[in-house]
Amino acid sequence: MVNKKNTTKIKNEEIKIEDPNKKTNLVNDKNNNEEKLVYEEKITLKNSQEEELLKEIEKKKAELFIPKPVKSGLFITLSIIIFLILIATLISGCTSLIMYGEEDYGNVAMIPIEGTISFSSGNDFMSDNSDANYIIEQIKTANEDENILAIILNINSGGGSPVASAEIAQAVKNSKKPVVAWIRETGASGAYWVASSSDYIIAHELSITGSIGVIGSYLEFDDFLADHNISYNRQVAGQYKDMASPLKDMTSSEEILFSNLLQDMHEIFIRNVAENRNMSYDAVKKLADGRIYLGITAKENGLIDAVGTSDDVHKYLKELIKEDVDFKYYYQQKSFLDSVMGMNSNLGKNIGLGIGESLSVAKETNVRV
Amino acid sequence: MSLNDEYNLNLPKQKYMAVSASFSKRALSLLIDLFICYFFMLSPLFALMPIKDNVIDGMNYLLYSNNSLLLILISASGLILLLYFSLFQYFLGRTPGMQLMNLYTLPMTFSQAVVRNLLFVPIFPFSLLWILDLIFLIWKKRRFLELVSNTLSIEIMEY
Repeated sequence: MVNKKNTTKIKNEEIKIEDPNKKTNLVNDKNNNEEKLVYEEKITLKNSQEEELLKEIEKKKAELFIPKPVKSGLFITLSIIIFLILIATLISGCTSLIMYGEEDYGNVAMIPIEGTISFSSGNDFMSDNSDANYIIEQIKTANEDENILAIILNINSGGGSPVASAEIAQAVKNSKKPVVAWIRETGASGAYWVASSSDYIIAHELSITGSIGVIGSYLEFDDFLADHNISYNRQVAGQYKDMASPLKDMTSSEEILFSNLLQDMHEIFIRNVAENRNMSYDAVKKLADGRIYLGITAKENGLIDAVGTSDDVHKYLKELIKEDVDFKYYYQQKSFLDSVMGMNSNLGKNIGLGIGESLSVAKETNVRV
Repeated sequence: MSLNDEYNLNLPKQKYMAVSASFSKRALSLLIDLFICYFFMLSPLFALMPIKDNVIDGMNYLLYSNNSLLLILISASGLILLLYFSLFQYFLGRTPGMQLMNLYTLPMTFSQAVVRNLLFVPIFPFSLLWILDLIFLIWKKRRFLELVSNTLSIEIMEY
């Protein structure tokens, strides 16, 4: 519409041209030719002006009447994804500020010891390992926090690595603030070692404790190899270097050596528990045949201080710190990327576990408390 | 040499037919979209989880110790899922999952896009829409919310 209007305007108002051929009162040919030249010039001018105007109109049409072309799908996709991530971050940030802001002022540090105690947390979401490094770090942090008046170890573990357990136990003993061990379902073996190093142990009467012993295991599939005509070519410098190799039978001297190793560990375990619980070595040794005790039996034998539920734990802590208990939760924090990467790495590990790692001599000999 | 080339008939080289999107393609596209949401859009919300290394412990903590956090997480996830599906279907006509499965939706208004994705609202009566949608999809080859919102998911088939 604009186009038509403007074009008409040009034709009717701006440029007035008379065709000399249509004139009836021509004087002579010379004058007629001059007029024709002027006419052609005017026509050319008119055409160029019309073209310019048309271009301008087209441009305006494009700007005003035609909707802007849709940007590429990739651009919109990225925009939407970024927009949604921003919303999620905003919600997460606000919630974190509102909900966890207050927890920073808790007066009792709650540190969980769950699953297998080791020096690795296991990276994936389903992992139930307790990383000793992390627990030790949290005990130190809780000691440095002025608001924290006591530390409670929330134990639900059947033990794990002897070294990891011993290191956590040492960190608990070094703590300047009172440490209470709360055994919920299981606090056995290495986990009991840790609990014994605390100032006070509370366990449910039906919980499982004790299991003061050391277990060592290794795989042996030399018969399997022999069945498949695979022979183990032994090349060692040092008689016991390939002790507990799954590729050969253990010799009697190796068995004695291995047994002594476990006995030594057991002795250290007993000595530590006796020292931690203020019991005689012999009294602990009687109980330390590797058996598990229910909470109630453990109390009778002096392995724990009290039987009780979470309410009893609350009451005890209230008496201990002489104010209302407000827990500050210390959980094993792991980045989202770590968890995703861990899932992949553990998947590969689990697939290859029965194949690759069983062939490794060093890794297969597994000792745990 | 084809009939078209031999006699210069100028016949259309390919024929396309738009049909209602199949159940399997819909399901796969939904799974892909949920996967994208889980790993990208919802990841900031996981930072709120106090226990990140063990999903079961994390869920137990939320269920038994921190119901308000659970409520926030569910509401926020629902809102983000609703926005994800609605925005993509409104602006591009299909979500990334639908793109991979070669599915389309017919042009729609934003309100139509929101209505057809109401099943992501994590409140009780809306949750029933999952079952209702599934029943309609098996019975009428069209989701219940597609009927309500007057929209359609299609796939282009070559024949």
